[in-house]
Amino acid sequence: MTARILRIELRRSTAPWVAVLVVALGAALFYLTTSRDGWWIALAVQERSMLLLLWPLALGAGAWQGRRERRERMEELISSTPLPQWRRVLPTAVAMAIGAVAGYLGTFSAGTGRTLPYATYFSTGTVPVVAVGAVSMITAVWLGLAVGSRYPSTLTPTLLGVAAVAVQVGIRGVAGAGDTSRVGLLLPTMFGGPADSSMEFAVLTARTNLSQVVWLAAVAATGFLLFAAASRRGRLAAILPAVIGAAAALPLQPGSEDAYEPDRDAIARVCTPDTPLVCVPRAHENALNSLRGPARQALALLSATLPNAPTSVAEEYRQPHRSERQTVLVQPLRVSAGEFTDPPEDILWYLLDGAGTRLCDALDLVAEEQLDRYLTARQVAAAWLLGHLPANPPGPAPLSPATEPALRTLRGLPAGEQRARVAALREAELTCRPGDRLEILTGPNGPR
Amino acid sequence: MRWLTLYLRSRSVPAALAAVIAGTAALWWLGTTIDDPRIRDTLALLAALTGVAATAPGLAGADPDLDRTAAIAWPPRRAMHVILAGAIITGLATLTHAGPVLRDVTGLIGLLALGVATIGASRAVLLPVIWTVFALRFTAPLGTPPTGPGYQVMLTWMVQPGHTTPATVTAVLLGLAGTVTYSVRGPGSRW
Repeated sequence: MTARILRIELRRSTAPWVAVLVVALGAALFYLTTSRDGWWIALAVQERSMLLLLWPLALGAGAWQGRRERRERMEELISSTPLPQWRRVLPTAVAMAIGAVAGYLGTFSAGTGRTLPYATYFSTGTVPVVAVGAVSMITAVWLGLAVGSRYPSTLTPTLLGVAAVAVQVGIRGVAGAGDTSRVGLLLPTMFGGPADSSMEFAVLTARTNLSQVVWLAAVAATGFLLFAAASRRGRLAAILPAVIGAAAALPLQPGSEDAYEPDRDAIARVCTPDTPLVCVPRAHENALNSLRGPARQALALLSATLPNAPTSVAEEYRQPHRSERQTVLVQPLRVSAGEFTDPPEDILWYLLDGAGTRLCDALDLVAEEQLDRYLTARQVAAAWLLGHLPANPPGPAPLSPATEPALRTLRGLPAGEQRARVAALREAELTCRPGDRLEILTGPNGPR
Repeated sequence: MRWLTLYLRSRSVPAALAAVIAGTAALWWLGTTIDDPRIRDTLALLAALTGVAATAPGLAGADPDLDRTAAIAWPPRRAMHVILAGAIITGLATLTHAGPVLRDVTGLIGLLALGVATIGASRAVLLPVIWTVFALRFTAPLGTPPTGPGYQVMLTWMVQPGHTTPATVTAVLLGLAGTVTYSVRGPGSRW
């Protein structure tokens, strides 16, 4: 009997429309905005960020369905049926939940068309992110049903939806980067990602997922109980799950630093089969070929001139704060359509900067002038290795006007001396020894 | 005067007005707590949408088919209803929010009137709501509005900065088309 009613509700209620609407809107948003990367976790998180719009839509649809009896002027007739209220509304609630979840999962499937061609590996952390989002859609429709049936005005669905958008935007606006704050983590919507690396290298920690699902499921239970409550006492009791959920979820929540953690599989290095080794994190595996050319060029330039030259290149998953003697490290680069977006000459420049070393954070250069001389010295070394000064090199800093005279001074020295000085700069950078770097290259009487 | 009172009451205008005032005030309060001007622009759009959504039920009477049989010149009255509703929403929203409120209300209420004339007053609100939900993806805090090509600017007209010509043109066209269609055809039947 219930199964038959459920089938009818699945066909005749708002449920199929919720699914269609969410998939259509979600797919349109995906295809108009996503970059062509290929990371399942990024797709899942992006859909979670779209919940800012899809969640209020589901809420409004629930409210629309919730006021059906008033709309069709059936309230008196329905209330005369002997079935208890909760059994009467159960098929409607289940049908709406199925519709909303189908819409959410359908949107994810629609997004796979963008991800699949460039997909590298599947992060298992994707599954809970999608699951929590799907649960949040049930929360939305059930809350909507509760409000819509309690306040069956024609204005309810729209006002409820607008309020949901406004509240989320408001929390986002007031809390600033409210994403990983306590309140932010209670929202179904996720904004952004981890602070220190990009999303493809991270997963949500188990505690984040768990606290969110506990809270959202509790609110969904409250929504259903409110919808099913026949009396004032029932409605009061319906608040209980949400209170318990909040009490359980808040202590479960990780601190904002622990909302995300690096995904071990995604950051594992994948290297070229042949030497010299060129490595990228697994999540960037499909872009390895576009790093190979500039990386080998950089290694050839370094080993042609310097003693103890590095023998491999590796892309890091977050800003490297150290240098390695054997390996030239490069910061995470952007990937699109299976390639790094930086042109090869830019990648070459990143690799040669500071003669294949990374910036030393430990130097504590506070004065503007000191920092400028430091960056200039690193650029002079790169330009010397490259053989010329590029017209418009990419970061970490714009080319300072001091670079050219310094390079000329260095070039004016005997060839062996030039090589020794660049090698000395590399050594100083590897050990992060304090001292003025430009002086190493140009000598104490060099241009200031 | 008596006719006007009865008309306004039959179209549940007092309730709608109360909803608009409450909604606009709530969004205004939220706006005062937020520093980011881009998010305040989003709130202004939401205020316009709230007002337009509240207008929806009033654009059709209890029985559109019965209304049609009355010996009353409906088209100017219908047009007046849409224009006055738009003016009131614009006035309220301009008091509380900065930004291109007039453009947003013009386009959204036109879209609503178009919906009332075609799919009926009870579903008409879906048109402005869905289009706005779509466009919200391209504004703070989720993104930024596209600056080109033209069709993308027109698709996201309600989140474009105030002086964007294609966006204004789209809104005016929607406003005109909606008002004219609705005043000529009247509310669509319930289906």
